[in-house]
Amino acid sequence: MIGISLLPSYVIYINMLKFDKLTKSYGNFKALDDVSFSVEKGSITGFLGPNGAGKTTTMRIATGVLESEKGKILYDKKPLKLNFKEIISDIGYLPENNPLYTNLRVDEFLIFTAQMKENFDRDEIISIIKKCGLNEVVDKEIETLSKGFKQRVGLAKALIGSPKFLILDEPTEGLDPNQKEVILNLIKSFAKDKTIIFSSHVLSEVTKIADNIVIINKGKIIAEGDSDKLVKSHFKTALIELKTNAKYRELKSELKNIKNIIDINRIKSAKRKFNTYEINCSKPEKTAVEIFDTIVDNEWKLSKLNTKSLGLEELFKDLTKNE
Amino acid sequence: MNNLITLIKKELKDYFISPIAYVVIATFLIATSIWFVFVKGLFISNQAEMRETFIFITQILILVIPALTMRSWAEEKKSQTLEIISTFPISNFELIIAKFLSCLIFVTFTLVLTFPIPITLNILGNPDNGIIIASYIGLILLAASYIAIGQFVSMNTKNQIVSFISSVAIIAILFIFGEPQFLQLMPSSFRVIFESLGLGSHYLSIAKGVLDTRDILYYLSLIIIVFYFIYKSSERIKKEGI
Repeated sequence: MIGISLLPSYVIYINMLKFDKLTKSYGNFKALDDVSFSVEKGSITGFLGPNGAGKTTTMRIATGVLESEKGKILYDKKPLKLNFKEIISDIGYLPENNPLYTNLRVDEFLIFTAQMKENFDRDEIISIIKKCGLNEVVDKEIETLSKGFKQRVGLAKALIGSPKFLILDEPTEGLDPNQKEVILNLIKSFAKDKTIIFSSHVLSEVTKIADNIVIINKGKIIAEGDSDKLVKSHFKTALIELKTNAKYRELKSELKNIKNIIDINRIKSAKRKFNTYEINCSKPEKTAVEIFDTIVDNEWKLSKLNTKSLGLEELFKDLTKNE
Repeated sequence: MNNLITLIKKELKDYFISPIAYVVIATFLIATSIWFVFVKGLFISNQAEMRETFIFITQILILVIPALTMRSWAEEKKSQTLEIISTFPISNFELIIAKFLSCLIFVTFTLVLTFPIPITLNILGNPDNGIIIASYIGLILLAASYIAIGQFVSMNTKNQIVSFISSVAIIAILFIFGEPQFLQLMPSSFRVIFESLGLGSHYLSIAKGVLDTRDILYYLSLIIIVFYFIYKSSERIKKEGI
């Protein structure tokens, strides 16, 4: 109890990663344009963006592989560039495409990594091998391993030296669904004592394990925060999906008095059968009841009436469309 | 410092498990032995000296060293493993030193394997061992210069073949600068400049058994200048991307 009360105030900054106004160009192509965001300590941040959005460039700058033209990376308030050797020991990095020294055995590669980090601890290596499920391949050459095992080796490499920060660039790229599941569960298990940022363009992965999301497109950050809050704040309206035998004009005329309805779109029409409509509205639950009453009053047949929840996928599509 | 040693050990291991390295060593030793015994060596000159063999080694190293250095950076860039070593707590300069030293150790090891030649000479005759030792020191300095040039080229390409051919061309041109046949073609006012630039001419001076500081300084300066360019190339890679 005494120990806790004596904790210094700077503790709140420990394990915090800040990207501050990063700008990077490749020739005339501006890969990053004033990119700023923070990753809170002990959190998993999903870094989302379409291909070519600037995710890998950001990750590479965050690990010192690449230099930005402007801006800086701050780890616990310290700039990476000025404290490279000190900070880099605290970063575990899994680069895109997971490059490995494939002529080495798994154990040799992990020992080499530990020695290069000047943090050789045999017990730690054994524990990481166990944690990443590499026991059965530990004495095999990396070259001979399956893609899933290679990815685990890459993750194990990133964990060497108990880094405070994990930076994972597309950690599930090219894996089958089962392998993806294993890797995502592993990442989630690391979150207890680490600050993690991982990039992906697969939204389901991000929603599965990330506490926060950052969306980048064309080198600019276009959204940042808790995914649910982002969806709610972005989409002021909701969609109701309706399948009925009512004709489009009749339906539109009858529903025009419901004040929450903004727009009605016919998605699918079929002669003598049910038509499918998408109704853009606010207060979807209340509106759905009013639509139901109208259908009953008009003695139309109803096949489907449900509110369509808008999620991260719709948000991502909406934010990155036509850009 | 420890990670520098770790990296040197890994690089050396890579050399020793690479089939190319063994082919290079075998070719070098066979060619040198044939030269010493049959072409311009022991039985031809009938003298207990290695001068012609050492000159042959300076020339064959123009092919041998680029074959070793071609992969050092080019392979790391091609397989993207440069991204791994760039994120270890080691500076760019230390990385360059580690790659350079590991190759130099390997080449020195290869040169040491020619030891049966001076031993044979000592058994059969009475050679000037001072000259032989000075020649070996000169060979190591010359090899270090070749390695620096080879690594600079390797740093600037992803293709090993391009790296090999370019390195051979650059080293050969610098070597030819000091050769008497080339100097004869030059106007007399340029001869001194080209002679002082020639990689081989400084070696010939050391091979006479005189360790002149000018020759040693020449090789050290060349290595430092090339190191500077390797360092600048590594900085450029950090700016432009691997």
